[in-house]
Amino acid sequence: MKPSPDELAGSPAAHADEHLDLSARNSRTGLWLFAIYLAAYVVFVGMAAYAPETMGQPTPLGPNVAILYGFGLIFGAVLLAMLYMLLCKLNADRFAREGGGK
Amino acid sequence: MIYSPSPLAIGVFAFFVLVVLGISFYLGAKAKSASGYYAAHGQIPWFVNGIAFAGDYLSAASFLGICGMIAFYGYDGFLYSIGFLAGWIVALFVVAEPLKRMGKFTFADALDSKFHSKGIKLSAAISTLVVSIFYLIPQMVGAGALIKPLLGLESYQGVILVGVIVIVIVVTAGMVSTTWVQFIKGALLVLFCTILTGMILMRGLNVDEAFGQHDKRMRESPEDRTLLNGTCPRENLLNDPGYEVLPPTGDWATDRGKAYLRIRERKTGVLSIWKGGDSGHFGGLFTRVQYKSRGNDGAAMVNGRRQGIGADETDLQPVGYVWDISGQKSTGPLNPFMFIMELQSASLAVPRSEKFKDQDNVETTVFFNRYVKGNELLTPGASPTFAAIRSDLYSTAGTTKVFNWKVFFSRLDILSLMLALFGGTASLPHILIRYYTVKDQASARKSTMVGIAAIGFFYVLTLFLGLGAMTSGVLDPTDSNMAAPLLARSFGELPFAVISAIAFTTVLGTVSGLILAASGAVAHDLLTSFLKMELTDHEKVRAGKIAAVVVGAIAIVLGILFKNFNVSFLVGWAFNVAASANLPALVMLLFWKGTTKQGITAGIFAGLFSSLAWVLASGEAYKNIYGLDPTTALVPFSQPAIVTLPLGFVVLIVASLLTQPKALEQKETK
Repeated sequence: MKPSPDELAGSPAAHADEHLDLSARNSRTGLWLFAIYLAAYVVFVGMAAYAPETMGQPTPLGPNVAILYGFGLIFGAVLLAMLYMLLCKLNADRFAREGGGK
Repeated sequence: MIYSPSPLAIGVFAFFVLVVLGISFYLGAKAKSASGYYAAHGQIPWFVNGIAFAGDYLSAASFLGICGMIAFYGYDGFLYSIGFLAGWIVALFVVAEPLKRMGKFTFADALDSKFHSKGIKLSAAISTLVVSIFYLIPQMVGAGALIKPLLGLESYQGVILVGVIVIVIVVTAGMVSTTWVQFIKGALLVLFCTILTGMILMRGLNVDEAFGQHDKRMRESPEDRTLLNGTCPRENLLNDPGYEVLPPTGDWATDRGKAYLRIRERKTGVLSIWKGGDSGHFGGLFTRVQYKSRGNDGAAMVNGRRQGIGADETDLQPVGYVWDISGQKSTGPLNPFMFIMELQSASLAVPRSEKFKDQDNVETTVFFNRYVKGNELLTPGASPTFAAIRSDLYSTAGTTKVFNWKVFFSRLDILSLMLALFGGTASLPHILIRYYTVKDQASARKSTMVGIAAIGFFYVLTLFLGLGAMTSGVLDPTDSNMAAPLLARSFGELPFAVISAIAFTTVLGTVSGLILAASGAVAHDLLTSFLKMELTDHEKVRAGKIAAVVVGAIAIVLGILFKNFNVSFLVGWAFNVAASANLPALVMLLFWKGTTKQGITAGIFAGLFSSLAWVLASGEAYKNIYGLDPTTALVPFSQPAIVTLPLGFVVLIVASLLTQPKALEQKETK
């Protein structure tokens, strides 16, 4: 089960979050997730500018490619943000197990 | 269109504004120190801050502008929604936490935390001021547009009203009250838009009855000239002795003007305008269209009569209809997916307009319907700005292939806009200062996540609100910004009053955040850090308040001057300027150790001034600011980011490389 944001805020690991080593780990995690989203965004923008007719094609789900891709980017951003919270929590737990950077 | 104010709308509006002011005064009493004024003591709970992010971000442009763009142009408006949200990914994954770690009150603090350079303070403060003011203009214009139907005031009066209320809010309390106002407004906006979307889905799609009957009558009797959208063969219009055909003069003699016929009825003197060619839903017939111009006495004229609600007067008819849904009259309630699917296969009449200047300089705006299949509107390229992307890059003239520069630049324009939206969010000063209102990096991260969830959900709603407005026969053909409030009015006066009041508080909240960011830049970065003025804590707050009044006054003046601009378009420009000026400095400072203070200063100035210059030299500025022919503009497309953002990076890197030896010398002497 995923921890709620409140549980994350209250966890002892959250307080070690200001440590530079942990910040660096979180930064790396963030950049990976950023790269994933950037790739999806670049493909979307490229299709909008260079293949609008492909964007108008129907999909088996009903709505066309443009609508589904657009919704995908919006919900994808929310999901990646949640995933990032979870990964930061895991980073913090591992960091605490390793002795909190001492 | 003429709007008559309703007492209910005024009552609800007054209630909202008074509650907002009440909160400001109450919380203002609690924030006396500089850290309280600018950063709410760093003690705002992360969830509240997250919703306040949404409140800050979902400005008049997001709400009014995007709904309007979707209602008029379909998917091209939704591109803005997607770009605006995607920008948060940059904020969350790249800049949020490092910025929180480095800064104190302002964006300049964060950039300067490593170098303590006067140059960085000056450039960051100027950039903050310029971007904030640029972003303020559309908010003020939106306020003016909104106040007109709500209270029956002129738009300049609306701008002054917003300016004064916001200055009072900012001067009384600073960041604490601004945050709570944004929290309340953000939550209300998402809640009421959800309710409105529910109402749209419950209503489903309906063929407009009046329009359907009218369509039928036109087909049976195409000679009926008294009705708007009436149709007639060209020969009959030209040869009727009861009518006089005006010769094409001025813009009417150009290629696009030749698609129209202007006919004056001899008996009444009333002029009607007919459009042929591509509006050809009615075959090769000419269609009677709506138009607006000025009479000899300067009074507004609509369809040849004085505009008004009196006996001899007339007004523009609302537009935006469904005229066929696979032969059904109504779909009944639909789920969100079915709503999109039914719309894709429906046939719609969407509003379009064109402006013509006659030889005597009298300007006439013609409003006509474009008859399209829904799927065409739910695909990129339905708006005039991006229409060229649907054409081929090469056209054939005889046997030779010709490279089509218009298509090429149109594609660059769309790429540039999406780049600006992606990079602009994380570079907006009023968004950046919100990272200083929470206590630590973890809270910064969590509040960003809450913000992304609220904003993402809202942008999904904007699609349905825009499409709902497009198909409800309520659009004002002269003003796309009014789409959302008019959609609400189609459900009754109360939803209209509530949505308008929320939209107005949206403007209030965003404008106060922006003025606060700008006043922080002046009082903290320019006076204290750059000019080294010795200010006590109390004086610092007072300086900020004086700056807030000045910036607010500037915003009022600009809001009145720019009132004819499209709100979303102006926001797009603000994002271009913000991304070009601030993003290279933020990113390089975080990820390149070779960055120098001279590099940052040069990068900020290069991005800021090049994007500003580009914007002012673009076709849109030629058309809307200087009244010149947009085809003679100095730059080939209107969104600068694809050129000026890389330029900011290049200047920063080159300047840093050129100033490296100093750093090496310092190392050696150590």
